Amino acid sequence: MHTRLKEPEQTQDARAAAPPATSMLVEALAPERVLALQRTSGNAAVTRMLARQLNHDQLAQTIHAAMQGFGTDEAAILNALQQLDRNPDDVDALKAAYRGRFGSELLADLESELSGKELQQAKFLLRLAPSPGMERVADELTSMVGQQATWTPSGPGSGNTFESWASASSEGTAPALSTVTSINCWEMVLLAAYRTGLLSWQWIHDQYTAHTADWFDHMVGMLSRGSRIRYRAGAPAGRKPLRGDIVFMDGMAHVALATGNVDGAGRAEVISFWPPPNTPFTRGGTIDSVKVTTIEELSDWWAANMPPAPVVELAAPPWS
Amino acid sequence: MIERRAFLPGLRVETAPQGSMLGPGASAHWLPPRLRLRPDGDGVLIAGTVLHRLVGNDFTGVLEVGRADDAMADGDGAWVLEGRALRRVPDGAGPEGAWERLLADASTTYAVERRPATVLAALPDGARRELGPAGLDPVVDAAGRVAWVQAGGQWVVDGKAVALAPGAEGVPIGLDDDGRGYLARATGVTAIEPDGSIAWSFGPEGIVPGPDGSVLTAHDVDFTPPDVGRPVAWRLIAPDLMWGGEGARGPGVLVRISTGEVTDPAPSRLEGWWPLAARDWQVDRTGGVHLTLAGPDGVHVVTIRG
Repeated sequence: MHTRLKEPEQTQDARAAAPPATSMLVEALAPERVLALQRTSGNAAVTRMLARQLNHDQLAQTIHAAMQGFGTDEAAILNALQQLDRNPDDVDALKAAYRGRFGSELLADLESELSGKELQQAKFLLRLAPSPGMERVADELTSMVGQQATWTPSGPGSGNTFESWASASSEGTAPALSTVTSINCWEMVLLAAYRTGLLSWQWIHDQYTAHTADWFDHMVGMLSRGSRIRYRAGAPAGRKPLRGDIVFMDGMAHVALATGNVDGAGRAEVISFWPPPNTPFTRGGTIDSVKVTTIEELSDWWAANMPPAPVVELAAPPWS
Repeated sequence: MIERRAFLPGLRVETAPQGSMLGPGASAHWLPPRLRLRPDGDGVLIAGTVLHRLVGNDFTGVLEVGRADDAMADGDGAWVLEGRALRRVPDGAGPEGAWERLLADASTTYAVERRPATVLAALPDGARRELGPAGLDPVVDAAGRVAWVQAGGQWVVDGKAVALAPGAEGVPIGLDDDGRGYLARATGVTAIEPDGSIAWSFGPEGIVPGPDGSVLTAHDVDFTPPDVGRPVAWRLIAPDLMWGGEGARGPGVLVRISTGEVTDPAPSRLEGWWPLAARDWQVDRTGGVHLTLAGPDGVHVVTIRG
């Protein structure tokens, strides 16, 4: 018996980001198309589309030129790296182009020319290091590990504690963590970001009161800065999440925050507020702790209890 | 080979897996009864706020525990984890710690702390033994040998590491008297020899009680998946019912095998049989792998042998 249909190789987002045929490029780049995309899908989508037109060799030359002569043109370097949209394939292509043309490693050259915030920003844009904001929110959520609340599903109109706070007409006191506070996985991440001051109540409110056709897809877009990349659970050579990366499992079905660590069994750690993999669900809401687990443990639980296994994607958050 | 071991009637369980988790109308969540056995094969079934004692092929009594995230029979009572706190039922407290699970050898019960380092503590005194870095999943055999899988595919038994064969992946769930280890992944189990090679593996994609005391898996039925226009994963949930899951996105589809009738979407509440995730299957000292099948009229305990 065949018991498993083929899993999709690409997510919808990845398909949308695939390089179009040459004949389609001209059409895609028409000003009216770009404006329409910007209106309907935002600047990030426009950036993603334009990133597909990158000339990596030209970009390598621009960066190299910015490092020549007296002083370094940090702005030119960062502007060039921004065009990668943190897409790992474009990062790899740029590194290869740079190595091919100049015979040296891009990162080594950047490290000799940049320092401090500029170097950290460059590494962030190359997806080699988290941004300060990602680290701050990860630190905040780490400080919440072990605290208890009641997990419930959520979304606009759910009526749980967090949604009620987010949808109120004006900003009130943020929910405190206790067993009488009902909140879900991504709301715990948003709460951590709010507590750092890097995410405003107004931003959260605007999302919870947005009238969009598919709110959950809308939220995936709003919580992603730059490209989302596919993570393959259990693949030892795969790309690992950075500290503070948002981890999407089947879009918004579960959202966690990466610690940037790999545990003793080689699995990618996340901070998660959701009963699996170790707490049984309780009808009406499950009291559970903010916990450290791994993408692999959650994916395995998922494959066993609500198959098929989830599509896992990583993205830098909007507060990065 | 799979055989029925015990049956606990009257414990009605809604066996639908997770329906959509998105939105305020998300469906009710499944509450699986879980089995926890000592190396001799006896132990408890955790069902809500009650522990049912399992001895041989019979359920012999109950212990009221309130919430139990994990439990292990110990003498006349049991050790219970409530959240990360440990206590002994019917009375008594346990040592302080951020405990995540309970293990047992032939004579001793252990609590496991996995972060910031993996620690095994013998109960009741709580004497701690640090095993290694964070996040390991240790198992203990009847003789007290400790084993785990370490990063890079290393199978470590009492400090000695061997490389796991390709395909030998998963979370350790047991170690038998012959030194075979058992690794679980999703709905399957792989038994490994002491040298890390694969002894046998079993991935059933659904296990249900069959007619006349038998046990059926998806491999026992003649089923050709219909094209439902989207990726689903199929599970046998009753002798004549195949459920196609869609993860957290929705209720999936239901197919009656004998007629090919498709119900799409499937009812959000299903009556069928749903085995525990393999990471909760229990291994005894002879290599028997025990799990529960929760269904409409009770809970079966079945045993798999390679």
